[in-house]
Amino acid sequence: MSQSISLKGSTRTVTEFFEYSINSILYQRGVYPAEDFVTVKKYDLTLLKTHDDELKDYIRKILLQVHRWLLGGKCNQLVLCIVDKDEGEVVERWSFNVQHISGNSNGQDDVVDLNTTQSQIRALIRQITSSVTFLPELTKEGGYTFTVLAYTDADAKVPLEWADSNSKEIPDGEVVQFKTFSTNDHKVGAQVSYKY
Amino acid sequence: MPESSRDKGNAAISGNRSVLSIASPTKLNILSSDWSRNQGKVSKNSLKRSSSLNIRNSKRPSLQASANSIYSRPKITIGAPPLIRRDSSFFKDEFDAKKDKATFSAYSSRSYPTIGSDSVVSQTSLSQPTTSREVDEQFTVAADRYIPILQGASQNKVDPETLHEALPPPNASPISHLRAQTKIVFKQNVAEACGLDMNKRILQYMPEPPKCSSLRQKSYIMKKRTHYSYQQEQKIPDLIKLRKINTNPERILDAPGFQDDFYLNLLSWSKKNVLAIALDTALYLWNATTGDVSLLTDFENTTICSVTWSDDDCHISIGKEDGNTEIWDVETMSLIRTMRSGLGVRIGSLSWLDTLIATGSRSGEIQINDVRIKQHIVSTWAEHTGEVCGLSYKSDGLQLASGGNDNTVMIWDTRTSLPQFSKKTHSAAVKALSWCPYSPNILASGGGQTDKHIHFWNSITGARVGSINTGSQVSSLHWGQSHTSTNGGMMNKEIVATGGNPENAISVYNYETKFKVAEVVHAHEARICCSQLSPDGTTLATVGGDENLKFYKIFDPRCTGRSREDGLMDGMLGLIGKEGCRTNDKENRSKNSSEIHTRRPSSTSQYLIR
Repeated sequence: MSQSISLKGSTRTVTEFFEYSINSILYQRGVYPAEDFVTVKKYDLTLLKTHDDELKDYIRKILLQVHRWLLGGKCNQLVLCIVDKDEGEVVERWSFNVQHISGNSNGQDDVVDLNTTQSQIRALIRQITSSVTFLPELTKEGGYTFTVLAYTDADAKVPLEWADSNSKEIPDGEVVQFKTFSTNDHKVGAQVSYKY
Repeated sequence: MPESSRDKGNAAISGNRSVLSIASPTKLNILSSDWSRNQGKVSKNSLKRSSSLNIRNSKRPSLQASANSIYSRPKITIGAPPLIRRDSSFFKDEFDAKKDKATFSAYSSRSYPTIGSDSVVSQTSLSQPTTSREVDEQFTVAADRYIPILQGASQNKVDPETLHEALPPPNASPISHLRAQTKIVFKQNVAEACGLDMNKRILQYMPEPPKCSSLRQKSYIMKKRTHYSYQQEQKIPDLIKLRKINTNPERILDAPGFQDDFYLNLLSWSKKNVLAIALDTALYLWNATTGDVSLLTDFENTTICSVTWSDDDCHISIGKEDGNTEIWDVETMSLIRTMRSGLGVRIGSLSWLDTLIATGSRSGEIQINDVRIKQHIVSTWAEHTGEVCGLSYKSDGLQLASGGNDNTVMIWDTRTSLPQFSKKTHSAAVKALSWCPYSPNILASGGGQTDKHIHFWNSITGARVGSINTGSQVSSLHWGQSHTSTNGGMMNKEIVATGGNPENAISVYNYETKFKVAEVVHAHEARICCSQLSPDGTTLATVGGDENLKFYKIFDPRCTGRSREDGLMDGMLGLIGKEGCRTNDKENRSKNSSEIHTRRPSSTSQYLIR
């Protein structure tokens, strides 16, 4: 019983992290104009979150489904691709892989402190935020859009809005690995690959 | 180690005589060199699978021998053998040995000598309910390596529905198990060949991400703009764009003494380009070609209420305040005939049909006068209850439209003297009436100050086919056309309305879309009372309460070739034009109205017979 609750809580943490990181990436990379975002306090950080209803709704719908998959342990990677609108080419690929550790380790010694998780998330988000410094500039203003990919198990239930896709990898892209954070049940890592 | 386990297995199987046959000697199906390499290490699968048609490996004598047994194989022996669970301890050691091997390539079959009855082949392992996924996979992979050879052609298609289907229930027929497994194997084959992981799907969230808000804003504005610009919007291809017309008049003439009365029709423009305008009691003719002005007549004590050129453009009818209608010859500047309505009220509207004049009186009667005969009043139609201020014959002469101060539009059949349709849709006096030159049975009517609408009528069915709210009274309506340069010179049917308060504007509407495409605001300083279109259909002469006569270029010239086909009107115009030339000849000209008839028998009979 306590296990399921902690799984739910852990999943919520992960989903929440996704929400904030997607928002930050969209803001940092200028996919949506800065005036669409407002600052919010989260993880003891000042983060930017969109206040555009349509975009909010779009992200919410994605994450709702990802949340469901995570709960069922069906999803092991979430990818945010920044796509050039004109060429349809993926210029940046942010991927978050999720490891389900709940099954493997039932032991008490594995319990991750909430504060630890928070600080790990903080570090990770800081890294994502600071990545603008090394990522190549996206020159075309307003010329980019994004797509979200989810890597799921073959037997995951797939709603209509989701369809099979290729991995949209960037060929010969530069890859930067970020830190990870872990909760009781999940270990989340992040990386970005970009056209060099 | 495999050898020993096999022995163990064989021993166990032989005990109950069923699984045994699993190890039939036929089984060596080597599909790839990979597998053959593995052959030595892996031995277990043969236990699961009892038979195969070894078409490829027919060289082996042992295979041939066992081929016969295949046909009996699918039947499970009655008194089914005990299931051997693959994860039972019985197989344990084998599993451990293989754990780390790739599922697909690791297994290969071995052939074993048949123990016991060679014809009884058990499918036990196939029908085993499998619980663990891993076992399942190993099982299927191992068991069905041969199937692509055997049944490849029919099994190649992977039904997407069954893609994630589990194995059929244990009680399903062996065939269906076989198929299910074949599918899985095939899928795995394909997946492996493509370098994909069977257990992973990459899913993309398909809906488009929203555009950023600033772009949305922009596109909204652009949409709004294209409504009034030349840009072609993809989504609304037939949206008519704003036309540019010169909002400055081409010419302004003074019209002192012009009566600012909505109900009167004091302007008429002949096909010979002579504009007649009644200024109080006098009638002036202005030749638009030369610019000459001449005074036709001045009644001095009787005001003129309506002026209309006859169809031959040599005569002009003048409706007067006292109820008389006079016909003047403009060539000789002389009065030809006076027709008395006997009503004693002003004649506010006139319409010619060849030799007939319809006159609309203030008391609501419409009289049809034949100018050729002494008893000129052919019929009197008294259906209107208010002053008849609009009268217009349809170009083919079969119908007459009338509008009155009783807010009624009537469409009359000229043969029966009864209104075909009586429309009370307008809520004010109907003065503006105009028949469409392109589709002859469309009538446009415009209402007065409290109505402000243009209605379009189908004069055959009486149906209202469209409406425009103009925002001001409609004192006159004229059909015209413009040609879009972009659209291959396609003609747009347009209608121009002149209005009163608040803008005293000339408004041009597209007939198809009912959009206002052009406008001259404050064309006059007071309301526009009358307007006439020039013979070439391009210039609108308007006269307003400010006693000015202004000329605006509104329409593109008529496309002659097309309109000739289109409208009977133009055919008639051509006829009249010829007639006009003839009447220029002074010797042929006659003041006698009956001679007008004799000069034009063809056209008259054309109309009357119809």
